[in-house]
Amino acid sequence: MARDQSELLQGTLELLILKTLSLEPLHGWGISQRIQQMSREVFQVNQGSLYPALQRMKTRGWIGSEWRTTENNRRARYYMLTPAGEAQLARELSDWERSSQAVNWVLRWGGGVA
Amino acid sequence: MRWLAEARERVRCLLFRRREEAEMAEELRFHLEMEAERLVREEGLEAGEARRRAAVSFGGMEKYKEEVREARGLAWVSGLSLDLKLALRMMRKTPGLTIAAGLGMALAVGIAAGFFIVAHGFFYPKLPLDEGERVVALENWDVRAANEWRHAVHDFVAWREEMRSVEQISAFSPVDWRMVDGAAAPRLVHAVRMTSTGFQVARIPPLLGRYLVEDDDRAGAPRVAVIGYELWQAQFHGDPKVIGRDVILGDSTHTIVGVMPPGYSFPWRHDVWTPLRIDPSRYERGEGPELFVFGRLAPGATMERARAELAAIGRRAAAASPETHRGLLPQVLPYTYPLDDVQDPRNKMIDFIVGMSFISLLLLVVAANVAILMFARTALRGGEIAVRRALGASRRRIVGQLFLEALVLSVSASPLGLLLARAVLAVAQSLGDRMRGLGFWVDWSIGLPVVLYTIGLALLAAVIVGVVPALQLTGPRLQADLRRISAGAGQGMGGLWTTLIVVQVAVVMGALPLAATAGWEVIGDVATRPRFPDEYLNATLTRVQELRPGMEGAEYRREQASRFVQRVEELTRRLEAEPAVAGVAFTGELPGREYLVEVEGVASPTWSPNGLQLSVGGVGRGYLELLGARTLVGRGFAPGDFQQSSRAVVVSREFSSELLAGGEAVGRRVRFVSSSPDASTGEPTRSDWFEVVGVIDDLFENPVNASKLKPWVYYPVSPEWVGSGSLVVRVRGEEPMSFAPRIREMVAALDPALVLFGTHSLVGSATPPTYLLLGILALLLLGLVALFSAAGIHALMSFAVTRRRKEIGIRTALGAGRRRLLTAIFSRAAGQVGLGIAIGALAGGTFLIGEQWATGPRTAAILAFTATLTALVAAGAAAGPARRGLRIQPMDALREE
Repeated sequence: MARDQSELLQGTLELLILKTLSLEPLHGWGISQRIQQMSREVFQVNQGSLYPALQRMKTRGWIGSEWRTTENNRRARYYMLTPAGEAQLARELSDWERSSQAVNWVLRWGGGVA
Repeated sequence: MRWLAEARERVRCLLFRRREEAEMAEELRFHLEMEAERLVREEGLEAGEARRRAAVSFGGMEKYKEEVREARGLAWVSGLSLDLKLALRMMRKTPGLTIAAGLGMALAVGIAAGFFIVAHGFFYPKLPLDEGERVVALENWDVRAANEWRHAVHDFVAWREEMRSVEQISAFSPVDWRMVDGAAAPRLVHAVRMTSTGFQVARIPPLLGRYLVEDDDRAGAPRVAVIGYELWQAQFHGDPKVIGRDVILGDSTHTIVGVMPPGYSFPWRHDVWTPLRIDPSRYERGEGPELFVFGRLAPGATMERARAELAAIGRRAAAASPETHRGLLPQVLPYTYPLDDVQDPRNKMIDFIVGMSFISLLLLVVAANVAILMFARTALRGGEIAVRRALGASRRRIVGQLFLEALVLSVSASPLGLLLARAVLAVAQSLGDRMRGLGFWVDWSIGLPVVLYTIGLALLAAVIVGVVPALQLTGPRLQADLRRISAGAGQGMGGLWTTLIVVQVAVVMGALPLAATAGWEVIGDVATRPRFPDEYLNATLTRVQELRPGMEGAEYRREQASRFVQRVEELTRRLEAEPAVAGVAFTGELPGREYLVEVEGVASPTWSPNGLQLSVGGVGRGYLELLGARTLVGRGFAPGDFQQSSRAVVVSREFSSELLAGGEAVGRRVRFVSSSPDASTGEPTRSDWFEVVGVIDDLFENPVNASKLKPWVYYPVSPEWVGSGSLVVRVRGEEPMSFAPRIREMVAALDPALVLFGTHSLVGSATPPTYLLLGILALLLLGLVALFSAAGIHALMSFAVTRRRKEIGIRTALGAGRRRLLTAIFSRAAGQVGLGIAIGALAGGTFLIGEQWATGPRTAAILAFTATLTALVAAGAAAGPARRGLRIQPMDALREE
């Protein structure tokens, strides 16, 4: 049970990261802030869980990273989307739309019968 | 190309592991600082509180670090050195369990690997010949008798002419001969008569001279012989002029024409080769000598094609001569199979495993012991694992670590086990070689298959003893484990330990008596020894059978028989005149052969409905007296019994006590049953009835297992009824074999046509040393396993009690009496051990009695003995920790909390 939940979360988290990075390269803390804003504080996950997800995506070649200096002159690791990551984002978005459509359809249909 | 990028990333992480770690730390620190600054900025917290809140919303730092490492892939490599260090530390922490489990693994690997080497050689032999796998054997299989049928003179000729898919079809027939070379002492040689094509099958050229050629096979060709390298060295000191030399082999002169290279002993294990001259016109179908037929698959031919072709030839033969060939199935087999008696590999494999029940059972005991010990070792660390889990180690990581620990142990134990197997097999092989009991291809050295098998075994062992308990310990009981640590590891695992002890005791209790009984049977079989002193020399004689044209038929045979009788009588007279000789007697075929005997009033067992399997001896006048047999009831053989019309037999005391339960033996009738069926009726052939005239004291005894003593039936025999036989000579006051050369001289001086087949000491030959040695080895192995099992029970028991030490201390502090505590400890131990003993005894006892390995009372005795030993070991193991527990100061016990 616990596993299913975390996998679902993980997949969603990756989608959110991809989406975030499609706008501009960001460091980890920036990503976490952006996600929190974007999801309007719905996702209450530990900020730390971001990093294993980033590493996994990096290993898969969806994102790259490099050390840069921030506006207030500190060293931070910035992540950016690779072409493979862009393709993945497109794929995941269409998957997401398809499945949410399907869920909506099922919900409507089920409601009609009841 | 994704995999490429992925691999590159993984390799980079691996190569720059240290840098990666530093960068990860820096990145996370940056995150926390940014978050804290935000909290100060946006929510107006003071710096300390902001850092705290940032850490809380970040979550378990170590856990995420671990996850990042894992996500980098190849995390196991970075963890490997740590895990190795941990594994070694754990080994040192529980040295007793480590050593016990390690030695147990070595023992188990040794037994399993030895078993594998022998079985592999047996079922997948590799002939050390060019394209050895294409050398095949051809053999008739008698369906009704479920046995091979090798009187194949006519079949051999037919197969050689008709078979297309098998070439160079050859035959051999082994014979042990006396070789006489001028003045040198005669030597027993292991010769083989083989059709010359046999050498072409082997494809190994001679070292000197030539091997046999087709001309040598013709009737009337000069008698020639090829000798082996080892014999050439031993007898002729490697003299190259040996080619052309004449030696006497058996009863005729042969000229040596060739020497084979070192190590050549095809087709079985031979050192002299002479032509096999096959003349089917001399024999009826289904008669003639036993031949072993072999050949090579023709180029391009497959085993299947050869089988189909031979089957078709067999069907034609069965149609043409149904009286001899109905029920005979000719078959093509890998060369070694019929020689090793593996006609049906599938059934043989089962037979092999069952036949090695002793080994299989020992293996079971050791393997179960190792598994339990390792499991206990892992279970002891439930607390440590729970802490690591809580600190963020993933389940995979911990399972991996425990697997690695088990692997370190099994991998270090395996070479030891292999060496053990190799040492035992080396002894067995050298004995087997010396007795020529093993084919030339047998190679029990450590090859690639057994190494692979052992590696597989080590991996499997590590999975079983490492992964399985680790999965259990890292399961969803984490919280319970944590609670247990804080509670002082007192009660939580009680159920687990009880189960371990019960299973352990049950396995030992159930299987060890079975193994002991199986081993005991083997040793009992070979422990029968003569009661007469080592003063007897047995000299086996045969008359020359030189069939010359015009000298065949009944007349010739009568003449030969009377000549043999005269010679034996003359030799007896001359021997008796020797001062060193105390007595001489004639005996027929070597006594001790087992025969089917029907005894009046005694039912035959269901597994042998035609008669009882008894030892039978054909003995000449004065033989029993010469060996000092006392007549207990009735009479011994009288001169009148040595008439062909006489039907008197004498039986041993064991005969009357075992078969007749001490009842009256004299006057009872017996008859002998030949196992080969009568050609016309298909029934076994039965002799006339013989009458028991007396009971003599047993000539043998079995100090190990009296029930292994065979009942004997002796019947009178006279030299004129048999073509060969032995003279047993009682030699006065010296080693009997020292008289052998004198007999050889006397035989040679008496008649060159009288052949002395061989001489041996009656007592010395009674117990083959190989079997005795193997018996001792088996006992040693059994002892080792028993000792190991005791160590296993001891370790488990003492750990179980040690775990309760603190509880004991606290209870003492609370005022519990020593006696009461001891009773509590021991009654619990007794309960566990008792349950194990009961389960094991029930299983073992049911098997022992059900399979008729032992009688009821004997089974009870064996089980009682094992149970007592087990209980003593367990009690001893519990006593030490219990005493230490009682001595512990209550304050210390509480402080440990």
